[in-house]
Formats: sequence, structure tokens, C-alpha cells
Amino acid sequence: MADFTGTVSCVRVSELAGFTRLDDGAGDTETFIMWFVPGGGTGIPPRLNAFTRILHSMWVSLLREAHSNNLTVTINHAADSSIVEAIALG
Amino acid sequence: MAARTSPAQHELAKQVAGSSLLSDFLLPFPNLLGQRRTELAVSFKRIASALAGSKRTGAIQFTIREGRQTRRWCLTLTPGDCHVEEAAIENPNLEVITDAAVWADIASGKVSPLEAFGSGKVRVRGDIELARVLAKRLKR
Repeated sequence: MADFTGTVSCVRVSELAGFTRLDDGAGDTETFIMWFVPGGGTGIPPRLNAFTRILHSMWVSLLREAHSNNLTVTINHAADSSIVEAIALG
Repeated sequence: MAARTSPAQHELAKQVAGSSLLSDFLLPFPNLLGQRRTELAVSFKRIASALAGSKRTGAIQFTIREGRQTRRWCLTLTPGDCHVEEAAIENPNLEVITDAAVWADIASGKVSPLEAFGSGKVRVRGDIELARVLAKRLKR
């Protein structure tokens, strides 16, 4: 497990994909994927259940709060992956 | 327009149509490896050639894991030129991190950068705008 701590410079969400970019303030930035579901245009993607969708919504809320108030978040992800596993605010 | 568009890629294209950021990475790259999928260095030389005409400056590092080994290629952009070498540099403007099999799929055009990144198989650190320049220069 790896993590990246920084401020939120970008949050982009759509039915297809949700991703965010963090900036650690020392010149390092990284883009992370919250969800990516090709084929999701036909309704709720079968791969994502209601709980997962709620979790994604919570992540977006945390990121929006952090972006609006210039707060620091920490994203946990697998060392070799850009997929978000957890988000911590503060 | 891509030479071959599968139904899945067509559907994906419709979904990313409203996002210039995502659509830049939608199309698979042209085959940068030729017949030899294992000679990854060839792909970086071809990327350097494509970037040589760009007005951008900066450094792009590709960090490729191959089993227990990690190899790095650095592309240094200067106005009108791009130099590539197998070496690591400090503080590249853009770093792309993945493993050799995934890079071979991307570089051979088997999978698009968007699909690879969206599946979590590629990490992108740094200037995403430089990544967009790279993708646009490689568009077939």
C-alpha cells in the first residue's frame, strides 16, 4: 500500500470516470482514479453496487471540501496502481 | 479516425466526447514496437521522434517494471528536438509508471492509454498537460 498527501488541484467526475489530482506542494503531483466504468452510459454499471456508488460520492465530498478550503488529503492506493482505495481528509 | 474501432471503443468515444482531457487519451497509439514487443526501447525512440517537432520543453520519464528490475527512459524535450536515453533523472516534469507487459500493450496499440490508466495499470505523476501533448503528437 502506498499513499500520497497533498492539496486537491482537480476533481473531475462523470458517469464514466471520476478522478482527482493532488499536489504535495513540493512540485510533485499525481492523478488518481476513483472510478472508471466504460459502458456505464446505459444506466448504473452492474460492476458498481449501491454501496460503492455511495462511497464514491463520499470521496467526492471530501475532495470538494478539501479543494474549497485548501485542506490536505491523503489518498491510499496500491503501490503499482492509480486506483484510489481510501481517502482521508486532514 | 482510428483504422479499427470496436463497439466498445465506439461506446467509450461517445462517453468521453464531452471531455477533451479524456478524449486525448482515447485512441490507441500507433504500433511503436513493430514486430518485437519485448524491445521497449524502440517505442521510446519513436515517441522522441514524434515529440521532436513540439515546441514544448521538459522531461518525461518512463519507469517500467520488469519482474524485479526497474528500467527508466528519459525523454528530454527542447524546442524542435527530443533526446531519449535509458537513464533516470530527478524531478521529471512528467513520469509514467507501469510494468513492461502493460507498456507493451499500450505501445503496440493493443490498448489505449485511457483504458490502461482507467484500469489502474498506469500511474501518471506530474504535468498531465505534457501527457496530452505526447498523446496528440502520436495520434494516428
